[in-house]
Order: sequence, then structure tokens, then C-alpha cells
Amino acid sequence: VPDVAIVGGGIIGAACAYELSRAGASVTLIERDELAAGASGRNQGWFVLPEDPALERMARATLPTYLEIAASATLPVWIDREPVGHLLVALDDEDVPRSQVALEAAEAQGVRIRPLDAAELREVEPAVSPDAVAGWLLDQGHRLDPAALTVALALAAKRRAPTSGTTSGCARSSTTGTRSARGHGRRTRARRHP
Amino acid sequence: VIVAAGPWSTSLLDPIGIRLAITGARGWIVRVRPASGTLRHMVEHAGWRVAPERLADVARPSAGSVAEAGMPEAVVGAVLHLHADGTVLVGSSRQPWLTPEPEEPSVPQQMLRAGIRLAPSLADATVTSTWWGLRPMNAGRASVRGNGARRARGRDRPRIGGRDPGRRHRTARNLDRHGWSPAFDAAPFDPFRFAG
Repeated sequence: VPDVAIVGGGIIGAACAYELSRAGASVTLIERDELAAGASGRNQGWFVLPEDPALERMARATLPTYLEIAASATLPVWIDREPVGHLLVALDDEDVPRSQVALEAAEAQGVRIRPLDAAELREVEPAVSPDAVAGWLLDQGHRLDPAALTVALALAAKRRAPTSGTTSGCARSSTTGTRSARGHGRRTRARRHP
Repeated sequence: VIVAAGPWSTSLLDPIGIRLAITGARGWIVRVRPASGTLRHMVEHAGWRVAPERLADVARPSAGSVAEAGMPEAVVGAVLHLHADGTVLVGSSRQPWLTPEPEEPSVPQQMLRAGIRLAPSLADATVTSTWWGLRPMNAGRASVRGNGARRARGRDRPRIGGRDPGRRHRTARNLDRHGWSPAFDAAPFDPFRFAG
């Protein structure tokens, strides 16, 4: 019996498996479909600080782990090593006050913000509409491949196991294992309703 | 046991009496291959980032509102970035998850309209694929995260660790043995904070 059983092979489950196995716990990760079959493999792949201050500390602690995992992964994991910049664009005057929630949250988190007028905006990002009236360049933002990162976290957790073995239908180790219940296609899983 | 099953966590835990205020919100992505040019940054239409809308749009609608106005529409924004393979990923959208099939299959069209308004050259890009997924969401902005050790010690309702005090104690001891403790205050993420 493992110390910890984790139900769900998304990035949260995989990250829990990684951290717990790093702390020495025996972990079994259970996934009915495949790793990153849900939102973890289907999202756009942005890493920016969340607006909610309660999440900030966790987010800041997460990025170094992601970079470390990507650098040591046994599969290619695309993630920007340095922030590429998160550009907020106001397409009309009404967008300016609507941007304040995001800007105030970023400012409170110490993110550097460069306000841009229309001319500066087009210089910084030529693809943006010439109709745009203003922008703000936030010194943050890493693009990443969330599915690859999820798989890499799970594999890294498994690598930390001192011994490994397999049982029928699943890969499992004495310290950290992954159980994947096959037979449900991705579409089947996505169609299920909670 | 850590339940990290996203919007499916609710149906997993409900049979054992744990009721979480987690719902699913459907979101689409469109992948396009630009004919020319590129994006230097992660680019987002500022108007999309309005907190009240972003919170309200995932709430389950009332029967009266559906009877009056129909199924809730997707909230669509323009969120663009250049992927490593040279394609551009176009997001973003959010809609309550109420049926197995997409409630509004025209959302990719709406997203491309919003994306082209933000970056007009995308109109010449080739659409290569589109897909949707389900985000786990709740009525607040913070995620849902239980603190097993504290609950196992009986400082709170004994929902995690079982009703057996000995088992709860052993669970806590095991977690302590592994040096597991939150690196931050877990209180804002309490999964039972939505309980009345």
C-alpha cells in the first residue's frame, strides 16, 4: 500500500507525485485515461502569475520546478527559459479601464509594467491592429507545452523510485508508480459528464 | 489519497459524502499557421480580463434564466501566442459545462473573429486544428486544495483520513515522516469553504 494514492493524471496529480516522491513518500498515481488527457493537455500553455494573491506564492514556487523538469526530462518539453512578455492590448477606449484589474494585480505582485501608447505598441508588437489605442507590456510570461510537462513530471516522479517493476495493465514501482486504466479514448473521457 | 481529477473530482467524492463546489468550464483553442509575420509576445485583448465576467461566466445558470434566454453563451476573448512549431494558438473562451457536447460549436468562429480583430494578419493564416477541453472551476478564483495532515489530526471535520481516529493519526504521522507540509498558507484553498 503506498503512502499516498493520487487520483488523476493531470498536471496537478503529476506534480503532487513528483513532490511527494522527492520527499521520500511512496506514491501511486492512478489515471483512467492517459496522462494529460483533460485540461492539462488541452490548454493554451501560458505561465503568468494569477490575479488572485492567494495563488501568487504557489505560482512563483512552481516556475523553477517547471524549468528544472523541462531541463532534465527524458522527452522534449518546450518552455521559455526567460519570460517573453505578456502584452495587454486595448483596442478601444473602453478597454482601458477594463484592463485595470489585471494591471493592479500584476503591480501588486511586483511585475514590471511598461505602458505603451499606440505608436509604441505597434513598434513592440507589429502584428497588433493599427486600431489599438494603448497597451501594457508585463515583464512576465512563459509559453510551454502543458501535456509534455505533465508527462515529464510523472516520469520524473517515477525515476525517483529506488526500484521499479510492472504489474499487468499498469506500470508501477515500489515507491512511485503510475497506473493507467486504458480502454477509454480521449473523446470518450471528454464526453463524460460529472 | 489526493484527488486531482479536475471537474470529475465531484463525482468521485460525492459517493463518500464529500461535496465539492467544483464545476467544469469548457474552453476552445484554435491552431493556425500564419502566412507571414510572427508574434513576439503573449498577446491578450485587455477587455477580456474583467474579473466579474470571468467569475460569473462559469456559474451554473438558473432554470429560469435558461427558460428565458436559453443556454448560457460562451464568453470569448482574444489570447494569442506563437508556438514553438511556428503556429499560433488562438484562445480563449469559457462556458459552463452542461451537456456532453459543446453547447456552442460556433465558438471557434467567434474566437477567430476576436483574434483577427487583435492581430489582423491572422486572417490569412491557415486553420490547422481546433479542440476543446474542460477546466475545473469553482465559484471563487482560488483553487481547491485540502490539507490532509491538519484534517487527519482531527483539528477539523474528520472527512479526510476517515472516521477512525487511529487511521487519521497514522496518516498524519506518515505525512510528517515525509516532511510534507504546505509551503504556504493553505487556508484560502480549503475545499469545504463553499459549504453553507
